[in-house]
Amino acid sequence: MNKYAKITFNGLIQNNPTFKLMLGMCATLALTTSAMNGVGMGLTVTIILTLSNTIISLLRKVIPGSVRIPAFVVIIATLVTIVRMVLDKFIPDLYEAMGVFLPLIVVNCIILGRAEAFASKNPVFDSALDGLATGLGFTLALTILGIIREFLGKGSLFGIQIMPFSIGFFSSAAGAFFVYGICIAIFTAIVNAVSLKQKRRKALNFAAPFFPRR
Amino acid sequence: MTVKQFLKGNAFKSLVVLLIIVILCGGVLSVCNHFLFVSDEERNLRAYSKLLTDDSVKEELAIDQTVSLSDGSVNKVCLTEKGNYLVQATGTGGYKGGTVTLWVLVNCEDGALAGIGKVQYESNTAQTLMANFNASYYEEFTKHNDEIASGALFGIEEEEGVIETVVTGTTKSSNAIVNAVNAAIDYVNAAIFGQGGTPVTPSDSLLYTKNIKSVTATVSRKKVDYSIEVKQIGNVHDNFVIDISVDKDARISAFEIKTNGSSVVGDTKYADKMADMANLLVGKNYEEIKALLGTDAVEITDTSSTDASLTTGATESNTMCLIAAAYATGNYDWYVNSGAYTKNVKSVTATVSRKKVDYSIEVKQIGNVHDNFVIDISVDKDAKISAFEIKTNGSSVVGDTKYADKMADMANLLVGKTYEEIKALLGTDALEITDISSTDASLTTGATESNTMCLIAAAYATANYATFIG
Repeated sequence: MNKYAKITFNGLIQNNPTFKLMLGMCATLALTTSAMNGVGMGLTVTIILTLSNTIISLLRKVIPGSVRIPAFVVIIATLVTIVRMVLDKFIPDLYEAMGVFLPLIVVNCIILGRAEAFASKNPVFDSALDGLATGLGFTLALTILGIIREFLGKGSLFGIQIMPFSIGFFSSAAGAFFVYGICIAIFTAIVNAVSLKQKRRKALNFAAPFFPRR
Repeated sequence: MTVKQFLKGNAFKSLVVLLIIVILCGGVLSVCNHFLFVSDEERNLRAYSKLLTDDSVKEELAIDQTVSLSDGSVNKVCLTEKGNYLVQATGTGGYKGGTVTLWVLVNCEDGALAGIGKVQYESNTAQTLMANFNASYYEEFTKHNDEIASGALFGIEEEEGVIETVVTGTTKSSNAIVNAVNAAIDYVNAAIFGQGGTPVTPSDSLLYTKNIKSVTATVSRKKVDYSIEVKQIGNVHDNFVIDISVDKDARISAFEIKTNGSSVVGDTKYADKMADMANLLVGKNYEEIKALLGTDAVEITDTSSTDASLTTGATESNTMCLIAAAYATGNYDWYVNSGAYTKNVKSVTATVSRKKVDYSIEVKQIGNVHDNFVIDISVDKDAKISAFEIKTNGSSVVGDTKYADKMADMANLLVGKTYEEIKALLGTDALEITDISSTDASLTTGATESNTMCLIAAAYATANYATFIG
């Protein structure tokens, strides 16, 4: 696996911010009452994460280490405010649906975490790719949660009514935790199974020269 | 460290870099704000376009401040190109005393309200479960246009003339939503079509009180439900007890004789003649009833002027029915608008016995108080409170004694007091209490809002005493 593929795989699966690192849970649990909210929030974070990683990577040699955190926060806050203005101007429905969680992206652990852990130490393109992949991983997770909760809690998918009945529990906060827990369990089981399979394959490949076929 | 060393040091470099980043970000935000700023006008246009799919706003109208709305207020009114009204209304009475603000499209036809076109949620205060109200809930308000056009209102209780719209588990928020929709309907009826809602000059005294033994009046928005006991006159065997409802157009909508005093039980000679009174009186207003009474006197002792053709042979009993109807319609404005503190009172039962008035008063919940209070108060001939008992303590939920215990001393405090003394405790001359800040805070520390509700009941009882006595 080359460098870029590894960055992408890490952001999407290996270090998925929602299912693996469990970061940004406030927005995850509060906003996933519908699939569209999940997609909207995920894409918003993706844009901000990609831009913040790019800018921070560009400035990584200029910003002194002692003031890096306040500098990152100022940059992220500026980007969030701009995205907020854009959404308010052009996609007001999504802006209203996100409510207080939109400005709270400023303090989202995922964005500050990637800035500190990756963008401040890596070149621009790598950082931008890391932001994009991590953001898409977050979007994927929020969309899955949103689809499950909207389908069960409202009987609809992306606003289109599918079932004539619904289970209100899944729209509640308790339902969010329940679905989140189940999703983490399934995600971990799949990742572990794949990882085990890969380890076995590696082990077999490694052992092959010692047990030549006859 | 010298200045030169400081200027060459890392600390200074860090400060400069941070400052430059902040200034650059500030500049970028200023430019973005210039291009992306959303004005109030643009926001309103968005709200209008969501509500008006095949219509548009023609003009924004000034709010008629003289229109009095019982459980809500109107913030914005627009006339649409199709002659409908788009109203932004706020309903009170939500969870923890909060409010819900909605946009309501009121459809009109031929100069009259025809129904609700659309209801759209705008904002709320203190309502934590607004997510429970989905689009289909708001659509429900548009499915009862025939009933709305004929004067019915929405409500959370199942009762006559009310379209039930409650979401279980969020009753208080449902209440605020319903109050917002009803406020929009009431406003359009009052301000645009001139029905009800218009304040009237307070009358010095209630009409026909000398002919009335007791009255129970329940005021629900612009509708008043009375149970009136009319004193026996002439040769009539006994008092009549009559239930009458007067709707927002000040006309009788229901009339039922509960106790027929025309003759002894079993004697149908006169009783049968009363059957047609309901048909005769439903739909009539005060002026039409006064014409049947044939006199402008507000105390009826002589039945000779009563329209004798009503039900030949039972003129005196007819007159008693007319007195009840005249009381209900003649005093309608007082009950809805003019009586002191009527806006804070949900319902009143008043029994007048010589110069003593026994009230049972339900005071509307204010601020963070959990629910309405129901308080029994007696006011004696010296216009002082002689008895005060809290029958339903709305200060907190059942079993929670945190505030309920603080109410015990209110009876001791208020018995023996006159209106002026109670007004001094309320700390205001206002006849509608919405702000509790002027209430004497030393009454029962920590339950000022509940104390204020007790004071409102006491003030209502004493301020309106003379009116009830007549």
